[in-house]
Amino acid sequence: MSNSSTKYLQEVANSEYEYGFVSEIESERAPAGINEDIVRFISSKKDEPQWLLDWRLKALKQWESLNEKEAYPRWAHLKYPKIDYQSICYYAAPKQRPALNSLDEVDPEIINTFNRLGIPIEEQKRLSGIAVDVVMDSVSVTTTFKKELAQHGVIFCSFSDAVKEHPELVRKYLGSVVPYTDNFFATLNSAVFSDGSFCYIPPGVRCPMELSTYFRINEAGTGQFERTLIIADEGSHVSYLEGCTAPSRDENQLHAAVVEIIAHKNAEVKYSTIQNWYPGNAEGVGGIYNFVTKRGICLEDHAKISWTQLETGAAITWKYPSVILKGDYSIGEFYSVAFTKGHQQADTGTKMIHMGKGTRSTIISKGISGGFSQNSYRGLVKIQPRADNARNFSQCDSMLLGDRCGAHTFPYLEINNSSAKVEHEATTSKVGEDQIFYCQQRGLSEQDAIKLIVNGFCREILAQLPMEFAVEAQKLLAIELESSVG
Amino acid sequence: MLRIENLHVSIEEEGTRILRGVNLEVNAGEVHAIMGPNGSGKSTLAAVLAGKAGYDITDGTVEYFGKDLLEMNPDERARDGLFLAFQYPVELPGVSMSNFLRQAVNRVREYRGQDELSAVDFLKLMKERAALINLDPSLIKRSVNEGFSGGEKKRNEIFQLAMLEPRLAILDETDSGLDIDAMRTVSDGVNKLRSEERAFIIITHYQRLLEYVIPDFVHVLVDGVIVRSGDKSLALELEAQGYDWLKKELAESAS
Amino acid sequence: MPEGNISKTTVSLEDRILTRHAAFMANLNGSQPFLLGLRSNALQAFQSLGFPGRKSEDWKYTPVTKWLDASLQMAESHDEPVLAVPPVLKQDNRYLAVSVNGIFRADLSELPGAEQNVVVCSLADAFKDHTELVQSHIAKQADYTSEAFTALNTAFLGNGLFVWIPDGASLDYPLYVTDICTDPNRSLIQPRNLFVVGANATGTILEWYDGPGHPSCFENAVTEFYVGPSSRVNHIYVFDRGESADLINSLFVYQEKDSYFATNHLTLSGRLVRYNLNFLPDGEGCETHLLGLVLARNEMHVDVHTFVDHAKPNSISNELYKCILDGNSVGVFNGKIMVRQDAQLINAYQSNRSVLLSDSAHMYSKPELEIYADDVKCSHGATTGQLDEEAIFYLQSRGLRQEEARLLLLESFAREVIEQVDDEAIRAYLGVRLRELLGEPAVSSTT
Repeated sequence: MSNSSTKYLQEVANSEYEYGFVSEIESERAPAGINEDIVRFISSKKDEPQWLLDWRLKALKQWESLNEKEAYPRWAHLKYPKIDYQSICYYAAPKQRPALNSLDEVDPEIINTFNRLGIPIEEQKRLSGIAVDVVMDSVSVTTTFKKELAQHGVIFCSFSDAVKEHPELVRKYLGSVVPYTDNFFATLNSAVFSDGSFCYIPPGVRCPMELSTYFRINEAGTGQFERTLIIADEGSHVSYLEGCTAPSRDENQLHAAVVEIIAHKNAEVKYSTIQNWYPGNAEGVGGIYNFVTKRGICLEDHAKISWTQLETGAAITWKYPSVILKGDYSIGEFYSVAFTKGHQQADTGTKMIHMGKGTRSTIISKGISGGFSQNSYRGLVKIQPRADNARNFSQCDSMLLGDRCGAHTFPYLEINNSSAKVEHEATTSKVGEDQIFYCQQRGLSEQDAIKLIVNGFCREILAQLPMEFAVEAQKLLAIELESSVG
Repeated sequence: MLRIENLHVSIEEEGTRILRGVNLEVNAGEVHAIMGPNGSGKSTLAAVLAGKAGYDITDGTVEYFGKDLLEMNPDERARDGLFLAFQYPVELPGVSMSNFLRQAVNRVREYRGQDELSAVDFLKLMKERAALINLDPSLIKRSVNEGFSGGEKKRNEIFQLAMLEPRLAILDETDSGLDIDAMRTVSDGVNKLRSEERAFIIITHYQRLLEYVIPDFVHVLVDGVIVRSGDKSLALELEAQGYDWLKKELAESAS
Repeated sequence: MPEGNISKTTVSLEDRILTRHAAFMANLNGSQPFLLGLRSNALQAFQSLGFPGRKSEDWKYTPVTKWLDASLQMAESHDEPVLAVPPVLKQDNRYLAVSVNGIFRADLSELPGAEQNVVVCSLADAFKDHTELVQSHIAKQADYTSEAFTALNTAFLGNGLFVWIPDGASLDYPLYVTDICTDPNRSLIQPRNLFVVGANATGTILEWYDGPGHPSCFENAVTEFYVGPSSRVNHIYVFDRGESADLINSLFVYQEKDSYFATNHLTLSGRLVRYNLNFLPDGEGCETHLLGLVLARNEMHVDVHTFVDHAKPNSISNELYKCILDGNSVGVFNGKIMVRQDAQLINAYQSNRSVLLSDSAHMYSKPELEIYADDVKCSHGATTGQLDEEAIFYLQSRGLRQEEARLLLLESFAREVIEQVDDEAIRAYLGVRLRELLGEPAVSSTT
């Protein structure tokens, strides 16, 4: 590759973050630190029932013992300083919580914020037919389209509203896929989560529109701990989108979310994420620590859960959206593009746990690393003894855009049934010189050639995103690539 | 249009000398065939003209419309109307043909001071040019060259030639690996694209293609030098007697 | 402190090791300070590491303490009559280096003549006669500070095998290396081999461990290869000691520039078998080939860890490890390719293909890539499945019985590895042995 291309590929490290503004919104926050009082404070702020407080307190106790033993996950290919959990504020809420269904009552600054993020809530409300739940600093600030969804029996609201209005559903499913004991960060979330989204699709209903949540960390010194619960009842269908951004700050902020998905018989859930948290500056100062537990269970036969993610932000990403394939003939999918640059570190992948007969899973992961970043795929495919005729296909490709970054692949394949068929393939390479030359011979500049080739590399993943999101994803990727190669 | 003088080229780092003083002049409207045995330097000549990295130009000049071609970037050459049909077209996974070609066409048009084509006009042009060389329209929906058969790849090169309307088209062993039907379609396409303003350099090992695309000049490249030039009858002579005949004759005249 | 869940019995094994080590050190009159220092450092390392517990990522699927049972003794020196050399090793045109219980025996060996300019002797002699050479290579690649079994072996380092092919020399015939275990008790034996191949030298080394008398030894072997610039080494390793033999085998290969090292690694029987195969191509222009075949049946547990560490640019590595698992056997493959920063222009391939023949067999595969240079082509693939039903049906439709069809397919699966064995007599023997093993119905406790 010529010097000029090497040079601009190295500029991967120096891209600017577009969403790094801070919104001036008055907020109410708890004192820093985590203890029983804080957990009780959060719970009482939300008027929670006793059972939920008890659940939180059990989680707190578990987390405290894990923290004492320093039992946080160390196996990931990540380096970061020890996190001081007592210096984090676990509750920050925009002061005026608007009434639902009435955007007029929302603090105009919030609306402003989301407009700057390119999320025209107003417009979407009128035109595009996407229901949006907006979560800022862990508190749901607005949910659109609630009424129309209700006509179809779809419940889409903030987690706190769900606790009040549908306690039986929340109580039945909360922690059923990710128990509060699951792992260090999920346990922390279980103790202190402040809000999130809740979604229930009744039997046989095809959700009439895309459901979407936008997460925004705004306050300094806070962590964000939202919790999402999606239940697709028998024969239902839903497509769910999630987007995330945060202001540029010199400090590292912790985001430890939990997403649980339950798919009943013949139900299908498609969950798409565009993660663009603040990644830190070119020197690697600041940025979000993104420690997220996402898991779905295909509870009964012929259920399907599909994860698609475009990960471009966060200083650290630790995330393994997984599927437990419990029902016979259920299907799990994971499609991922992870783009790291600057000093970002990503350790991301999936777990496919095959328990039922004839279960199938597909994993396609594309990693692109530039600058000084480290980008790892880590995945587990487990075939349990009773999972007759299970099938898995995994393809993990990495592309390197510089000679100071790393691309790593750590797949775990555990096969305990002889009728299983498991195939894993991985490749690592840089953008081919012959490919660049071919494009140049047709009149494209070297930069355009690289952009085109990298885009092509990601295309099969981006094609999995719902239309409205795919456009945004391509825009985001283009911005990332622009700053990397142009 | 193109004037190559005393061109010496070796492989970078390795130092192996491939071209040892090539001279060639090509004018608008002409079709030149360059023939030669394997390893004579035919494909190197094509690659050097298109600006591929990895070669050292140790001596000589190449003038293209009065400009120093060797000073130009590969994409600049392409925009200025120099087109290479690759012997082995590379695959660009995930890059759609239409997206790729639209960028290419618009870059070339921009260079020529023309407006970008609208999406509608571009699609129209694609359809029209695809028909010109009987390209299966479904290929246009696929990724560039990905999963194409050998023949489809070659046909795709000629299709791109038709799209980009170059001033000088170099065909590097476009005939290799083609069955007789594909050869006919490809040559038909090339013949349709011949014009007063456009020149062709056709690089080939066999005379076969030249039965369909009749050249104005035939040059024989042996060991990095053009050892003989003539008209189309030279190709037939070569076909009849083989390269050894020419080599032998050369050796005799040298002694 | 030893980590993990070490049971009482193994703690006592560790005690026995310590006692034995004290006696071992006390008896080494006149040994060089270098060797004494090495052994006591290694013992200290072993004490602080302890046997690996299940929490150790490297031993995730192999809880090794399960095989370190109370009956395991430190091998004593024995005077039992030596069993015959394995018949297959009685070939023309080869040299033979025999050890008994990990101790090299020149009297049982058939070594190259002086005109070959190749040294084959015990490590103890080599320390005396080739002091500098041995000191500059021994325990250099086999890092005993981080791996307990290598530390344990190094702590008792003494009478292993030393082979030196000096600069420009080449072995005209293959050197067969074998160890005969005569201890009727369940004992820990610790072979140690050091191969030093100078510049522009060549040689073929066959390591052969089978089990006349079906020993129930626990073998903890460490082998180091130094491959000098522009040298070529063909290495073949066969383990077939029978169903009561345990093995931990650690191989360390260090390659200088433009060198070539190829190994064929075959495991045909055993109880616990664990390989740590480490390759460090540390110069430009290196070529490294690793082919492996595991045939595991009954209660066998085979764990293959491979690590190819590309430290320098412009090199090639190619790895193919195949496993056939039957009965209640467990297969583990953990292959890692690392390309360090600035090690550009690396082509590295790795593939793990496994066939499960029984519902109670298990396969754990973990192929890894860790890449820090951008101008590389690296790939790995892993597949696990069963024999192709359609292929079996096809063969049946041509008149083969199902069992014959199955055997034929398994043989062709294994052949890719066996046919690369660069020794005709051995290759032929392996073909027969494989057929014998595959044809024998496996004993499965669940059926």
